[in-house]
Amino acid sequence: MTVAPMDISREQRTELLASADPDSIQRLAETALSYTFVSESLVVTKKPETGLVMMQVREPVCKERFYLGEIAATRAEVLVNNEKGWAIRLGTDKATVLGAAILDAICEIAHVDLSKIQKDVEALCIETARVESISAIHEWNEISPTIVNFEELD
Amino acid sequence: MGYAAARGGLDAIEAAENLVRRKRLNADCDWVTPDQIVGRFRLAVDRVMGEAGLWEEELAAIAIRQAEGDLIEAVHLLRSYRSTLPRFAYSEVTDADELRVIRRIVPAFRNPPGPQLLGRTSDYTGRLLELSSEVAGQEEAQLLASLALTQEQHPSQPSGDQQQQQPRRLLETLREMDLMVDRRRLDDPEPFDITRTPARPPASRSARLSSMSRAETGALVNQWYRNILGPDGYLHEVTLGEVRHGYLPLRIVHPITGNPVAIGNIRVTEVEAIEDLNGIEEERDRFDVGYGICLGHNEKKAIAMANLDIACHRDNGRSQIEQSLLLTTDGLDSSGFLEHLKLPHYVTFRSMMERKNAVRQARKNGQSK
Repeated sequence: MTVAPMDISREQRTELLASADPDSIQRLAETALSYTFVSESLVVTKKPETGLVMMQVREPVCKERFYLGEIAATRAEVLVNNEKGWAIRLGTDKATVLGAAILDAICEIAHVDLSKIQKDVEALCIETARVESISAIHEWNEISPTIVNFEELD
Repeated sequence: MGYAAARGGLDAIEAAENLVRRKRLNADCDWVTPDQIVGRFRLAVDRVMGEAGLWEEELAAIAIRQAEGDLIEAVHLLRSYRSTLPRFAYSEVTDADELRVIRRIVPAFRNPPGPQLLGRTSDYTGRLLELSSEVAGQEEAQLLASLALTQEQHPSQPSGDQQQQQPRRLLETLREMDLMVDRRRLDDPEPFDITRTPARPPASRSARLSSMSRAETGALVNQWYRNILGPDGYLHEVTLGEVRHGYLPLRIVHPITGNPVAIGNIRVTEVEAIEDLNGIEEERDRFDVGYGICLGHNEKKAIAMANLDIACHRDNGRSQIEQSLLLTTDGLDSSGFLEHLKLPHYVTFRSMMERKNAVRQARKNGQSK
């Protein structure tokens, strides 16, 4: 995913925080919680919980839907300053998901004190998109030499 | 021999449980982390996730370690864990055409749309046990890593075009050539959820696909091998149209905005098996195709599944193939039944012995009359 600076929708933010570096998320969440009005207004409305998402696939032969299998994911929901924050992440990392939900809420709050941390969240999202893109390029560079080039014989 | 109720064995069971745990945790070698298992035994991890019907690499690695490498036992552990988790959601529908390939071969066609991309495969390696020393192995690993660094292209280069990473299917080409039976449905039936209700014949195709995608690999390969005869009773040619390994996006609905969000990519193996139709009532001037897909990288399973999908369709309930698929290929079912044989059967067996003796006695009585 390519993301231009200051151009992140809520959905993009959710997607990128779902794969962002766990340490960075937790560090930013801790910074956010250092503001008294954030920590005092924080309500964890759905504590981090690991559960399942059933993956639904449409196959190409009959164009039928079927269930391929379940994916383990962890989600959390919070309220900060009456703004809802929600996050989900594949796997079982509850601390990171809680941090991401807090950051999601923080980005929805119009408060001048939070502009720095909001920019930091956006920067983390942009960095995550960049890392994912580079990782895809590295992977392709590794496998593309295995493309077969046939030589026509006379 | 009379029946006598007995109890006991609890101490011995506890001691056996402690022994297996102690020996596992205190094995006379280094501890193995889940990361190492995922990195070094990726195909075992993928197989366990596929057969458990649950995608989570770290949990699968922990299960393999706890099961001491017994993959069916690891599947059992993972399914047990899964049964404790709530279901958050059914995902949005992912079209299989969205697969971003990291391996794709088309055995049926030399020049298909898109590349013949061999990718990471041991198909072309010699099956020779590498008996070099650990030190030599580590030195070679370092050499290969440094070579890869020097050969790497600049990371700002685009990562291949879409035609290469999301190639059109051979199936589409054959449809354009009017060589395929068209089985595309215009309705959109709800899929069958085998985790809620066991699938029983006659089952919908979605139930068969779900059952096979989490079936035990060996069982599915065996079913395919037993059923490679066509409806005419003769061995029939199956040609693979696509063998793919790659990433499918997982999307769910954002609970606040109501819009879909992609929360990750899941690696799958996907296969299409082209069937040469030759039955009397079939369209013999066209091909048909079977479909297989499973979590992780497991080509044997996806190939067997694709072949069994089309075999089931052609069979149309004439034989017991569907019943076999639905009732005998789940690893947990079959191994669970097998394992229970090790539990005490003292009473059952005693009654069997008594019946033998009764038969013998009756025969003796008959002879003496």
